[in-house]
Amino acid sequence: MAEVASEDFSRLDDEAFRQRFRSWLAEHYPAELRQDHRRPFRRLRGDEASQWLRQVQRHGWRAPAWPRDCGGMGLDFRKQLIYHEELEHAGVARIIDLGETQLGPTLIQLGTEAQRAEYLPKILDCTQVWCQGYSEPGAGSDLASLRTQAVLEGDHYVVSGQKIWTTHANDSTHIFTLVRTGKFARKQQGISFLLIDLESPGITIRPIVNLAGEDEFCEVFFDQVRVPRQNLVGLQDEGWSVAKALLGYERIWIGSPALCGKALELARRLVLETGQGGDAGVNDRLAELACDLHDYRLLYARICDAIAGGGQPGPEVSMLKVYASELLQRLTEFSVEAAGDYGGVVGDVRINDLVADLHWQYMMARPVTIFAGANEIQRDILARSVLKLPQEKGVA
Amino acid sequence: MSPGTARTAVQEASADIVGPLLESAEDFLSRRHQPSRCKGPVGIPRPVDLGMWSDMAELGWTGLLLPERLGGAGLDLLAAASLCEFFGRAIVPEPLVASAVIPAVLLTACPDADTVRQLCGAVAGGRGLLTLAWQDRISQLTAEFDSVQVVGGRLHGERALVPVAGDAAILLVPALGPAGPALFAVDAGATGVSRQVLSAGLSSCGSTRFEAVQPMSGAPLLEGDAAADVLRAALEAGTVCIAAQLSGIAAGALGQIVHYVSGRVQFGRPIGSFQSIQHRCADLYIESQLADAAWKHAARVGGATAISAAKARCGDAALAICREAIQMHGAMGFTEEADVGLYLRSALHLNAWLGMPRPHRRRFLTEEEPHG
Repeated sequence: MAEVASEDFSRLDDEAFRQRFRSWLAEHYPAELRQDHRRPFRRLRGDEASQWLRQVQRHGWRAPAWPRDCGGMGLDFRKQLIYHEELEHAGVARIIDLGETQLGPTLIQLGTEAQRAEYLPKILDCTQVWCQGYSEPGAGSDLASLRTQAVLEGDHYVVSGQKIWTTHANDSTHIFTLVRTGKFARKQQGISFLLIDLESPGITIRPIVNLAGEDEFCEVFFDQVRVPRQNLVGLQDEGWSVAKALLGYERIWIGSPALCGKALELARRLVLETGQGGDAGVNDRLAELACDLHDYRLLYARICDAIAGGGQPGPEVSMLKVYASELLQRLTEFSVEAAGDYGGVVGDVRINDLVADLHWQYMMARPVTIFAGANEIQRDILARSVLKLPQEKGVA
Repeated sequence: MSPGTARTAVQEASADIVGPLLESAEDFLSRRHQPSRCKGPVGIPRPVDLGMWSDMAELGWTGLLLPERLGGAGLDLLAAASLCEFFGRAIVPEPLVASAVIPAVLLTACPDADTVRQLCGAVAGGRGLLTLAWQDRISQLTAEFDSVQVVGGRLHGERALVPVAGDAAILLVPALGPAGPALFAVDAGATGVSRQVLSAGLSSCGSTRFEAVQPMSGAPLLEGDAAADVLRAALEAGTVCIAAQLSGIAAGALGQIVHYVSGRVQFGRPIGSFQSIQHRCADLYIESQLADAAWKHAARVGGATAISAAKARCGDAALAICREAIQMHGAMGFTEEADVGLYLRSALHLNAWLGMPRPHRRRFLTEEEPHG
């Protein structure tokens, strides 16, 4: 199994744990990779990400949510929250490490012993970097209508079709996918969860440039790609429940107020640097945003406390995703408007001592209401599963 | 009324106290309270039902915050605010905050004296209503003493926007005396007291003039910096409880919405199955959850930032949800017969009282420590 960290941080009390992680980050995280007003939501990817994660791994701070016997830190939910708060506090760039946050926990929960032994250590030491292949051109919010096909031929599935909006496929070595293996009355059935090596013959990756100027997401084409049968996770045709198993937790991490905190810092600074500190209209709007974040942090903490106390994330976590993503947009919109003419500049601007890229933060806040279940879908969930409103016949 | 969800709403509060308290509230109000109690000619101040008030006192509600030595239950602000939340949810018109919460905080801080004990007995026993006459103008967040002056032992001046102005038997009056700020008690029927009463929300407010008024016992209840401090504390406690009540109004109105749109059929289906309705309900739900989190936090930790954030959030949430409640009830929502209008009327009043959202947010922005 994976190399086990020498020290069991899960045994520290919460405050000691916070202090240890805080000082470790202060000592080890490179200053030049910190989030700043140019890149308040900075992400690390590629080699920068892997180098940092290997260092995290060497010092025993990798995979906070994984059990220790799988090579993780085995932290309870409370300490996981502290871990994320300290990353935010130190301005550590976000890393979309789907191997750690999605695939690993899925394998730990639903994979075979052989799959855990094969993949978990490689996720931890970044010899494998994973991306998520769910969305397709015809299957976005309506994910269950996906059509990428996998046909079992002997010991292999033969996969053909196309995925899209695959984040960081161009930096990844592997992809975990949802593919269609059968047709049933319920379209959620007949979907399987399949692990695919991106080096396999028949795969083409095409990056797509987004509105912030970055090629973060890609199209991935599969043409008769042969995938070993043992790469199936869970049962054939039952992959939908494999993918759904972690959705609740995903919405909790996506609902983190961290990005909004960075955006508010920029907004406050911008009001001062543009000389609008005495403008009542500007201040009233800033105050409203500051109160929104303050109250949202309380709501977020309450939901997290309930989970730390032994609860499971329920459908109400959809509200976290909705509110945090829309607040982030409102904050970035405020900053662009407060910057006046600079709000139209694409790229860095210097306003007194502040160097900021207002276009980047504004554009990077656009997709947050779209990905991981568009906010319209989250509102459907709230109406249906929390408020128990009546459903139109024929709606899934 | 549909108070059935009250207990789950405060499940995280000190359950051993709040649970039984809300159970008794649910039991009592389901027998004794109907929203129709709040209806009648629009714009005419409705007198407080003093019989109801004294029955509430018997349940221990009016003395909730008074210490046991003064005849109260000695509970904390979270418990009091939880009951206020329930009052909002069920649109109960009795002035729990104005005549129980705020007077209790003031009287608890006063040195022991016959008058203080007598007034505490009145609060805990539900014998006559007390109210604090502190305000000088709209949107005031902190008290100023000098608009009522003490000259020769008598009070001169005027206060505005006094809650339950038409019903109060005893006025608690901050005033500037020869020795500095002081807090007096005044019999509302004393010579030299005159009042002007307006209908406000589900009760009333009004201005009160003092012309050479002799205070009770001829002496202040409390003097000096201590008077200023306790006045601030009383207004803070009142603001938390009003925020809780507004949050209750928000939750109650949302309950009315969900109930109505689930049953009302148009185009052959419940209107609540239309996505345009569902998504708005989802947003209102989020607002109500933010309000709930905000007042509970304020009740636990106190302090200007938490309290201001809560008051602003709960006021805005209540008003937004109540307005939507009227829209979603269609023409029925515009009638005095339906209950949703009562929620809105009450929200308008309580949102305005003890500071509107904007001044509270301004205070929040000034005082908040930037996070992280």
